[in-house]
Amino acid sequence: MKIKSSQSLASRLSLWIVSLAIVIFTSVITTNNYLSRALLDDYVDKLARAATSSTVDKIESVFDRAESSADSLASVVAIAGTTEDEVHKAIKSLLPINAQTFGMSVALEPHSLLDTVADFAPYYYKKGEALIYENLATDDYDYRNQFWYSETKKINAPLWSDPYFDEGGGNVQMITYSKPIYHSVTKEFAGIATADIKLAWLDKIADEIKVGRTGYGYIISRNDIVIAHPDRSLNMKNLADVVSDDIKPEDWQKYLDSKSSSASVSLKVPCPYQEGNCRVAIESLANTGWKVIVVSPEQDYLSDINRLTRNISYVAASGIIILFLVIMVVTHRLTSPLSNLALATKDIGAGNLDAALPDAIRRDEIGALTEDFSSMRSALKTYIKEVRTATAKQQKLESEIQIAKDIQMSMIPQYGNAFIDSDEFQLYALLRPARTVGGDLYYFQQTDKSLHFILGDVSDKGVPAALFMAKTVTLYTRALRDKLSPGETFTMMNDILAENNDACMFVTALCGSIELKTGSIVMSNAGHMDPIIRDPVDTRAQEIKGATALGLMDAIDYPDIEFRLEHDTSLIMYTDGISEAHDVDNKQYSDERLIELISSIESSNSEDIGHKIIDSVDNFAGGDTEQFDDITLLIIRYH
Amino acid sequence: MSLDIVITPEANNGKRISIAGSLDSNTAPQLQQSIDNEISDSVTATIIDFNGLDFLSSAGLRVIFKAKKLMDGNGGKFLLVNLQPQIKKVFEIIKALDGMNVFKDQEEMDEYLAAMQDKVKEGE
Repeated sequence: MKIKSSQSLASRLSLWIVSLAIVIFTSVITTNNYLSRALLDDYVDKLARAATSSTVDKIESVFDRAESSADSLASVVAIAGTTEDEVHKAIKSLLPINAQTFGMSVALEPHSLLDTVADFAPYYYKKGEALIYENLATDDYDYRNQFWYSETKKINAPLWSDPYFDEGGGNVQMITYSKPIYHSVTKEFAGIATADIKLAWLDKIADEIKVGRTGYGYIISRNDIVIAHPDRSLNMKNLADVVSDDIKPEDWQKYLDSKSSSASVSLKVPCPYQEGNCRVAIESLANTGWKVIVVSPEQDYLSDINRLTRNISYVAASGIIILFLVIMVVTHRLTSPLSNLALATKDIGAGNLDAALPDAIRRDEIGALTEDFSSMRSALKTYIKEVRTATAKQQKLESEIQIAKDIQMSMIPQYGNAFIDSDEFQLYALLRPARTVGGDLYYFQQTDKSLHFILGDVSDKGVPAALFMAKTVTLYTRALRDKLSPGETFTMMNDILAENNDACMFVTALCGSIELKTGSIVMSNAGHMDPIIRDPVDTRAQEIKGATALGLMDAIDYPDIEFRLEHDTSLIMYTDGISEAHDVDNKQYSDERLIELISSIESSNSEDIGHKIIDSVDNFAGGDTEQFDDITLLIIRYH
Repeated sequence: MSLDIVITPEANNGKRISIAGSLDSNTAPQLQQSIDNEISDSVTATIIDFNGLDFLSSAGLRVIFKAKKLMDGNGGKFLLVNLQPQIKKVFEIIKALDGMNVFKDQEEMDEYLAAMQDKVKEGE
């Protein structure tokens, strides 16, 4: 059988293992990817919060120092009996202490701390190393109507302003911390001490917020105005303008509103500028209510994870290819002896027992198979040799038996197929052994006045029967020579055949002699079936009383039975090869059927009758089945 | 057709050989083999039970006669029982029933054996 390469063991084994490996690798990679993403989420959350917190800390430290400067100034000024000079001096001494503080001022209520002065609002700001003085107490400015003053006075508490563009002072973006001053004695509201901070440094802080590759952060005021953004063009814009159109502003606002406490919060939202989700961390500044917002796109890390997954996949794929190749090579090496063995089997099947076998050097199952195969071959060789010898013997035996058959047939008149048509009688005889030789017999001899005949059937068939038959025929010819009557003939034959007959072979037989002139007939029966008489009136069995078959016991007297054959009468004798022939259903032909057949035959010619009987029996037995027993038929017609 | 042979022990060291099927030239050697194996000198009676035998050929008869000869030589009994009509006819044709102990059934054979037993006792 030719094996398709797709059905070979190697292919199938590879297919299974590789499929399994693919499933395993895929599961591992998928799980790894999933877990990595979960870890990433946590990681990004922490990163974003950390960036937020550190930014808040940076900003608050600056604000704290500005606050403490303004607070100190307020305390210093509040002492009763202070002078204008002392106020100027206090401002000038406190302002340089804090590098981030741009300017400071003291703005007083009329006639409060300084009894004589109505409007007093000195302001100093830095310009390089120098401190520049500016008087805010002008009619144009009307400082007491400015937000930083009026609002602080109103709430009666320190206040950080919203960012504003200071046109009067430094012409820069700034915010102002306002601290109420209270009279040290009366404890009444006496004015405001301020500290300004330029906001330019916040841009730098916003720039410094870096999370991942593209993460960024920005700062918004408590009114959602962008104070510092890496994209400067967005500064001072409303938050709603900053987030992309993809996100509805009200949603964004909702997040912010719900997370406006001072603790940091972190949420996951669709990224404003790009695909995917972003981790957004928000933390408020305690003093100003500002918020630091850090946006970290997951994509930054996902691409890492994806790259990791891709790399693992490449390694896995390479591994699978190597695995496939190794399995192919290994199974091919394992099974190639099998293929060779298959070829050798084909050769041996075709009869070439010397076909080369693969070397059985391996210690595995295939090696064992090859070894067994080799011994099977030797056994086959021996067996075939034996069969040849046996066949030769058989052939020899057969040729011997063939010769035996010739000898056997030569012992009976006309080699087992006789037809004599004389003036007085017709005689038809047929002997057909079931095997090459058999135990049936007939014999006849015509003397001057009489026709002598015998028909017999030796028990069993084959060679033993044939030997016994030869003895029987010889004895009959001796009886003819001694001119014994049929009864005497059987008595003599029986005594000799029974002698030393340990095998218990026996012969059933009918013999007789017809006086040709008169039709007077004498017959004797040794355990054989009665003959059939067919005369012009009817066809019937003619009982011939006799004794036991020849050879079974000695000292038996066989009687002579005398009767007459009328003219135109046939005497039909047969052996049980005819009456006991089987059909396919194991049914016997039977004497009755034979008598019926004979009576139905129109011709009275002995040969015709004989042929019809044989044809009928052969038809009954069916052409295919082996002849059951020796068949002998002897028909004598007396004219 | 095949031949079934069942051998059962009988009283007084007898053997019953029950044959069924077809006893012909193909199966006769089987019966011969069984008889050779089972019927030793010490067997006092051999009963061939033909109940179930459908066909008997001359080859089969030969084996039966040989067994009878063996038992006669040993001084044992040889009994045939349960012969169906077509089997009995085979014996009749070759006129071999004379001198054979043939019984139509078990009952008849038992009566015969009992009678024989009595005879032996009287003899003592």
